[in-house]
This record gives sequence, structure tokens and C-alpha cells, in this order.
Amino acid sequence: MNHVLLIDDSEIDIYIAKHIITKNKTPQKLSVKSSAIEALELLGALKHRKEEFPDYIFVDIQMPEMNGFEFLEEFSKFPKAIIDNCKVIMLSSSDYQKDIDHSFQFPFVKKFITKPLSMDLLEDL
Amino acid sequence: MFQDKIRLKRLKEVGVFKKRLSTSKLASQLRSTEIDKKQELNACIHTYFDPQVTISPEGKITDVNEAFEKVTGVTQEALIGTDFSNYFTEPEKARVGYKKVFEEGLVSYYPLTIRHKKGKLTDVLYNTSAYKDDRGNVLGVLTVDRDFTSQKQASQYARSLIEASLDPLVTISPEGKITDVNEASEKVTGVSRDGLIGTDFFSYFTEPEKAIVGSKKVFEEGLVTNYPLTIRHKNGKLTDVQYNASVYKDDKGNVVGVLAAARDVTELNIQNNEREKRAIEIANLKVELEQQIGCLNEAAIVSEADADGNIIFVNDKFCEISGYKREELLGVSQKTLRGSKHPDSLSISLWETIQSGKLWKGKLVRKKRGGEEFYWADTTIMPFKDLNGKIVKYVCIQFDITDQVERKEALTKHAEELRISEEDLQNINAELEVKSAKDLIESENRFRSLFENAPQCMLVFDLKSKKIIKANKSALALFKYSIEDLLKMGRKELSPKWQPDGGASIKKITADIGMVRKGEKVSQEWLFNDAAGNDILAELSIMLPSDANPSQVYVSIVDVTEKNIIKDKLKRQLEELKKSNDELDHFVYSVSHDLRSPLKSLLGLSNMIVDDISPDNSLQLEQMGMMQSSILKLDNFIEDILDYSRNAREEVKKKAIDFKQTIGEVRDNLAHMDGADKIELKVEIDQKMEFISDMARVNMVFSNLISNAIKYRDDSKENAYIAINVKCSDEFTAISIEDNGIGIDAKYEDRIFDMFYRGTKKSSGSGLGLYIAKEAIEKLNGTIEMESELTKGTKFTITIPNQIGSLN
Repeated sequence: MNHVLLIDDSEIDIYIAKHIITKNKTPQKLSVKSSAIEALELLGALKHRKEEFPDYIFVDIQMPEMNGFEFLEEFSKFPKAIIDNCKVIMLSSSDYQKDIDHSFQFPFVKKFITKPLSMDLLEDL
Repeated sequence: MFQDKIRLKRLKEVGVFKKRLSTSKLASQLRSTEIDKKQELNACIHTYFDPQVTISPEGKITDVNEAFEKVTGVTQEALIGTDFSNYFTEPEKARVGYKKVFEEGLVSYYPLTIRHKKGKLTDVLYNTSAYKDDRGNVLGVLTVDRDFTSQKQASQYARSLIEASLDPLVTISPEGKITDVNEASEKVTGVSRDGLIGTDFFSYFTEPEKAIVGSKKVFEEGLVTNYPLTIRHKNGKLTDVQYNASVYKDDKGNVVGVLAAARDVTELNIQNNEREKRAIEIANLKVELEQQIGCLNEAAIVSEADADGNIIFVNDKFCEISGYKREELLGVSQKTLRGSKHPDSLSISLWETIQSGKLWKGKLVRKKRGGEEFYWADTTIMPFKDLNGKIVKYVCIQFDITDQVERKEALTKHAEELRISEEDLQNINAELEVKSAKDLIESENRFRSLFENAPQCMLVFDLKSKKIIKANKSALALFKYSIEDLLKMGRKELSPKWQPDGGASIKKITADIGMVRKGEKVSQEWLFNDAAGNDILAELSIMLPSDANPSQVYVSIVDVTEKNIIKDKLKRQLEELKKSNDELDHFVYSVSHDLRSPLKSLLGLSNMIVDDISPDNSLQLEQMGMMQSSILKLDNFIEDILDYSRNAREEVKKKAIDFKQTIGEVRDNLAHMDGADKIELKVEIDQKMEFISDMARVNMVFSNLISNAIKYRDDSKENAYIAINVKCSDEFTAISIEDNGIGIDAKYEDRIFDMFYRGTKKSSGSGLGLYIAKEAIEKLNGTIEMESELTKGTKFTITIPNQIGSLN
């Protein structure tokens, strides 16, 4: 893990995720955005700098302004070369099948994790 | 036979010629002078030995000879001037004779009897010819009486005979020249006497050579008979003749000539031919008649009775039919054969008819022998009469028509029976008609009552008059017209000009009626107007009446104004409900998510705390554990409510289900559940075909039942297990989920699927698990049953239909 991006509007959840991820994987860089719009701004700024572009993105579904699915929609418009080197993990309090199915319609979504995030859930990454 | 007779007659005639020949010399003398016919006549008369007489046209004697004086016993003087006929036994006959001479010129061999004044009778044959003056007027009659009694022959007599002969007579010299001829010869040749005498005899024939041969033959043989020749008239007419010729000699016996008599056989030949033809015809007729009689005898019963009605003849058929023998019938009266079935009047009229000489036809009953049996006879009786018209016999021809009569009787009987049965039939028909009429009236009444009282409007529309001809009470109530007004209306009056869909009412209704007449049923929404002009939206049905009277249609109208209001309301309500449902769905989702998110955060934080607590601090660890279990309980509860909500609202989504995969996912989801590691999951799946159902619901069912088995496992048992058996078929999948857990008390079994019901104190759930499972199964049209025994375990048996058939 070089660059992990966390997108969640819940500060507590970001706190927990940061704690679990850093304890488990120790990525070189961890960015946190509290909204999908801000996240897209960052990603847009980084899309020509391949080495700085996040290789893991953890994204929540239920968020104000732009929800997780809307974010996935926008993200799919990014250059293919960049998307191919990026794994998206859904991190949501939902375990609703409809949400799961919807998420996996995007090929870059590799995992659906129902909160709370725990150490063992990160093992296969 | 005929030919023989003819020949015999000819022979007799030849005999006559012979007699004449002997007098030919005298005859020639008689003809020698023509200067004074009277003198010559006198000379003739007085030289004859036979009684001769000349008669005036008035029948008076003008001269007689001595022989006549002798035979009458009256003197010449006394005789002259008296009636010639007075001297005969039959004066009338004598008169007829000489009158005939005046008319025809001559009479030959006229038989008369002369009465002598003393009574002696002399039979004579008169040969009489008329003598004429220069102008051809008849002066009188020379009558030569030939006295047979005296046997004398006068030579003068011959001359008369020659002249009297109808046959052409000619004398020929040995040189073949004609020496004398009679008048008949003149006629047949067309040449006068003077022209003929001295010419060649043979020159007057078509075959002169044959004539020469004939005449030579006479001179040689003295006689020729029936020598056939044909005389040619100077005008060309031919006459077939047969010559009978003989020589005559002088006193010394020298042949001086031939007397040839020609008989005209032209007529004779024709007559002969005709006679022969007639003879053949008669013979044929006879044969035919015999055959006809044969036929008649074969076919008919023939009998004859004499004038008194006694049988004189019967044919075989008569005997055969009547059964009598011929001997028994002959001489018996016809009456005895009369059948007793006869009315007497018939017999009387029959006898009257035939006795009057008329034919009788009719049917008779005849008695057979023995008198027991009878036969019917088609009878014709004909009276046969003699020349005087007197009935001599009756001929009766009958045909046996017993069969016909019997058949006719049988037929009549049959016809009578038929007539009777026909009458019966008519009676039955009449009864039936009355009955069916009654039924008809009854059903008509029933129909009328139905029609009148039907809750929907009923109209009968006549297609010919294009008017409403019937309307029921409901129709009057709906349209608010009086019956009188309504019955004046046609197709237009009850509808507005335009229908809501924009079509013209009259055009649409005409099309509808056309469809109905083709046998289609029309049912559609229709906008009517009542008497006040208010709109009435109705369901309009048009149909043909069942009796298929094509001139009428039935119209049924159901007011749907109210129905439509309700329908609209329902539609609105449904839309609202759908909207609120969607809102609820969104609400529940959002709420559950928003409720769960903080719980998840709590859970995450509590995990972090537990990680950081020193293992020695058992009190804190225990408290943290209690806190986490409370959080999980709340989360599970929220999840159950979400499941319930989803099952209740979401439509069934048909999708292929792989049970191995589905059960695997459920197991994975439940892997972190408390106690999941303490129970063995035995799964047996028999799925060879595609199984279609709603995956989320099937998942929900497995999830609930397996988690229950984990929760209520019996830790006292070493081999806690869940045995899942799945067996798929094209129709349904049978699932059994069995555990050896704590079980449920039998008294709770009925309530176990109830909402919020919890059957054990051990339960930490919401009480929704089994309720949701049952609801989900029912949504899939399946069944779920539970068998349980406390402390032994629980078994759920589930069937879910395979919806593969309804997928397409």
C-alpha cells in the first residue's frame, strides 16, 4: 500500500479506519476526505501523477451531497490506466444485498466491507 | 286351291268356245251383207231352228220365227205387237233381261222359261244383242232363244254368239289372214273390222313370231289352249291375252280356217295376284288370330255362354283358376259361378246390358270349386250376334285380379291405419303445441319479468323501424324519460353527438350494430344523456336475441358513473399508496442506515478499546463484552426490521439459485456469530436442474433458520449439528433443516411463527426471525412446517416451487 484514500463523512469511522489500517498495513501515505466531492478534487489533481495516485480507496455509501455510488460513477470516468492500478473497497454500515450488488457492478470495486472495520477484514488485501 | 279353281273355270270357258265354233259359218253369212239389216234379220230369224224373236225398244215383239211359234203355241201374227215378256214364266225377269240389252248392247246366256199356251214349259238361254241403224240408234233387239230341250243348234246362232262375246274373236285362213272379227277385236286392236279382214293375224301382236307358231300349231294339232300373247292396240296399249283356238272344217271335212278366241287376262292376272295376296293375308291373319287366341288363352279366363247364359266353352285358364273340370262347367248356368259377395243389382245390370247387345265391363267375384274360395275377375262380356242381329252367344274374357284387389284392400286398410296414426300424431302435435305454447308463454312471462325488473337498463331496439320498441323500469329511471317518450326514440336521442374518445355517436353505434349482426358481442363504455341533458357514463352491451330474430337487438346499459368515480378514487389511492410505500422504503432504508451507522462506529470503537485493555483487567473486559453484545443485539433487531420491511414490500425477483453457493454465503455471513464455531453444519444438496426463485428471500429463510439453530444449540451435547438437505426437482425444491438443539415445547408450536413471539427464555432475538422466514416462504408460494421436541431438537420442512415455468 502506497497511498490509501479514505472517504467517509463520519469522523469516528475515519478515526477507527485510520487506526486499523495504519496498525495493520502501514501505508506510506493515508489521505482522508470527508466528502466524495473533495475526494474527486484530490483524485482529479493526481490523475496525471500516476506515482502519487492512491492505490486503495475506502469509500462509504451513505454520505451527504454525493453518496458512494455517485462517486463510483464519477470515478469510472477516470483514465483506464489509472483505474486499473486502483482498488476500491466499499466500507459501509449496510449489509443490504442491493447495495452489495450495485457496488460490484463497478469492476474496480474489489471488496464490500460492512462496518465496523476490523483487522481480519483487511487480511486479504 | 285358288289356282285350281281358276283353272277349272277356264276349262269350262273353253267348252263354251267349242260350242260357238260350230256356228261360226252361219255367223259369217249373217254378217255378209249390211245393206238391209231388217231383211237380213228376217232371214236370220226364219232360218233358225231355235226360237228367235226381235223386240222393239218398247218391249213389243216385232218378228218371230217358226220355232218361237212352236214353243209358245201362238201364231206369228198373234205374237207380233204383243209384250215379249208375256210368254215367260217370269215376265219380270224377261223384262229385266231385254232392258239390260238396250242399256249394255248385249246379254248372253240369260236363263228364262217359255210357257206354251197349253202349259208346256221350255227352258231357254237368251243371247241377245241390239241392232242399230246407220246412225247407231238402237232399233230393236235380236233375241236368240236357245232351246235346250230340243238340243238343236242353229248356225246363225253362232254369229250372234261371236258378236255377243266380250272376248276378241277372230277367224283366220290357213294362210294366216284374218277372215272375220268381232267387235271386241276391233276394240282391242283399235282397228276397224274392214281394216282387220285380209291382214296378217300375227301383225297385231308384240311377238308376231310367237303368234305364227301358235296359229301353225292349231292347223297341225287342231286345237290350242291358253296360248299367251300380247295384243298391241294401234295407240300402243298392250293387252295380255290367252288364246284358245281350234280349226273349223267344211262339209267335206276340209280345214277352212281357225277360230281364235282371245281372253283378256290383264284384269284376270291382276285379280289373280290380288286373290293370291289376299289368300296369303287371310292365311297370315288366321295364323295371327290363332296366336292371339293362344295368347288370350294363356293370359285370360275365356268362356262362352249361349243366349240363355249356359256355358258352352271354357278355356284351360278358366279351369285352372276356378278349379272346375271342363265337363263340370259345360251346360251349367253362368249364374252358379256367381260369388256371394256380389250385390244382386250388379248381376241384373250386367244381364240387362249384354242382353241389349252391348258390351259389359267390370269387376266380378267368381266362386271357385267347392264354394269356399272366390276370385276377383276383371271381366269383359261381349254379345255375339248373327246376321239378323239376334244374340247367339256371350263371350266372356276375364283376368284374375284377386291379388290386385287384395293388395288394394290391404293398401286401403294400411292407408286407414296411417290416417288414424296420422290423426294421433296430429293430436300429439296439437297437445305439444299447446304445451310448448304454454311453456313459451311461461318462459316469456319469466323473461318479461326478468326484463322488467333487471337492475340494469334493458332496451330492445328494432333494426327495421330503427326505434326503441321496449324499455324496462331501470331504463326509465336512468334516462328519466316516460315510456312513451322513450319508445319514440331512435339511435341518436339518448347519446350526445360525440363520445369521450372523439368519435361521432351515430357512426359508432351503427358500426356496433353491424358487428352484432355478424354475431360478435359488443361491450364498451358509452356516454349517454338523460332527459335533463346530464351525462351518464355507462357500460353498453349489444347482443342478438337468442331466437336469432335478426330484426332486433338487445341493449343492456349499466350506469358506471359511480363505478368510475370509485375507480378513479382507487387509482388515486393506489398511486398515493405506491408513493408512500416508496417513501417508506426510502425512509426505512435511511433510518436503518442512519441507525446502524452509529452502532457500527460504537462497535468499532469498542473493539479498539478491547484491543487496548490489558488482559489482566478482567472486569473492564467483561463490561466491554456486555456493551458489545448490547450493540449487536440492537443491530440484529434493526436488521430484522429491515428484512421484514423488504419482504413485505419488495416484489419477487426471479433468479436462478445455486443452493450450494447460497448456503455457503449464509454460512460465511454467520461465521462470526457467537457459537457458530461450536456447531457442525452438514449440507447435502441434490440439484441437477435450474431452480428459479427469489434469491434474497431464500437467503433470508436460510439465514434465519441457520442462525436460530446456532443460537439455540444444546451445548450439553457434544455433537451439536445442523443437517441441511436440499432436493430439487422441476416442480419444487424440498428443504429440511434439522438440528439437535434445545427444541421447542410442543405447547408453543402453534405460535412459533407469530410476530415477536419468542418461545424460549434463552432467546436474545427480536422475535421476528421465524415470522420473517414464514412470510418470505409464503411470498414464494411455498410451505414451511416445524416439528420439534424439547431437548431433542427441531426440524423445519420447507417446499419452494420452482418458478422456471413462469420465468418466460
